[in-house]
Amino acid sequence: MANDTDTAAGEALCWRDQALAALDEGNPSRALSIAGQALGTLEAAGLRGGLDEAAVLVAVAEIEEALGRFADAGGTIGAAVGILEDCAAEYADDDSLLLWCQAQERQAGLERMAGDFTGAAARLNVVLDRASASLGEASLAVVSAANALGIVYKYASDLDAATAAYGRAAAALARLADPDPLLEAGLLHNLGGLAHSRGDPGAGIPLAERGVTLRAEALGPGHPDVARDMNALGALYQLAGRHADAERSYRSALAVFEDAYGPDHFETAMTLANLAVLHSDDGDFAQAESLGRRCLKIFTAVLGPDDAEVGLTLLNLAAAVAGRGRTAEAAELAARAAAILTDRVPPGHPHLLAAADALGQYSQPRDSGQPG
Amino acid sequence: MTGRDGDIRRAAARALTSNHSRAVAQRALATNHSRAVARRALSLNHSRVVARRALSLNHSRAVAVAGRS
Repeated sequence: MANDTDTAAGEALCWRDQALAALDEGNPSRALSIAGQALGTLEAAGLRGGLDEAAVLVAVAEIEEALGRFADAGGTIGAAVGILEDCAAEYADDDSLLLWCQAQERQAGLERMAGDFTGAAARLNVVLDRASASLGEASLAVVSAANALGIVYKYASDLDAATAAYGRAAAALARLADPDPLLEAGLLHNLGGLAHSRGDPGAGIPLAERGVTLRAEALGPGHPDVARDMNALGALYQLAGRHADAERSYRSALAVFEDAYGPDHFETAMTLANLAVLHSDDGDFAQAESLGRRCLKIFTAVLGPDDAEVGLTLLNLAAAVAGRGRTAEAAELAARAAAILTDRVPPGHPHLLAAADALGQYSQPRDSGQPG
Repeated sequence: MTGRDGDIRRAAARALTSNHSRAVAQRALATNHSRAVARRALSLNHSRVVARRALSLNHSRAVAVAGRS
């Protein structure tokens, strides 16, 4: 019996690895199908409810996130965490702890997306405490969790806390023996994003460019993760006023995302959203509105109508609509943006302040009602 | 002794020195759930449950300036 179950568990983990390989190759639909085989194998062997199922579910949640199926991912990772908590007494080895760290980190990512920054940060701090105590500060688990904590603080606009968390990740990474260059690429991406949030493209561009180079060398230029880097680098170029470089970066990312994920994917919309603002900055408000409405439709479908990304998209759309002279409509859009962002980001968040500013400007009695 | 080889040797050493794995194997007789635990006790010399994954990435979103027109 033990040999049979051992074989089945090994087979399931092989399917899991193949699923993640498909995900890494930019094919999440195929990845999900393969992961289903892993769960089926465990089911047939009577191995549900143990460490192996938790391992597969953590992978399934990552794949569902990549597909933009965030609600499904939440349910899946909740099930994985439940199994790991139930089995905590039985599994006391480092592998089990690493898996628990991965599951908690993924759950914190979903909490962050839902606007629960406090809950996400608390969860990640528990992970960091356990990982550092059991695996050591110079461990991959600490690098990963500290990086995730930096992302939470960045989205909450607590930029000093984000700097500290990313600094902890960088310090732990520097102490790893023979670290994967992709880890450095990921951290450089995020440090570039933090510089973007600080309004400091001069600091962020060299970091982001170095991250793109490292990742493109490792994965090839057409990989979706390189496209994520290119979208972030484009935002830094845009902030620096380098609009031609920004458009080139965005269009490069967009081509990869549309090819890998299709026209209605979350990452496609993230890139379209930045391209729309670039058109607004260039005074092409018609194109800005068109792209803005396209990504608004995608975000609403993928994330729900009250998500913070929807709020920011409405705010940017308001600027395009105002640019076309439809100020009353712009005021309505800005009011919707402000209402959403008030519920989704902390008081004083830059996006919330921008929404209040826009609402004040568009509400002035100067609407001609005529298109620009 | 680094990386997976190191993990394997450390795990094997734990399996040899710990009473924990014997206790786990005994529990395996009782329930289906414990069969997965028993498998772990018998095959601690692999660390395959954890897949190495990339770091999470943030997004940088551009914000339009109101009243630029």
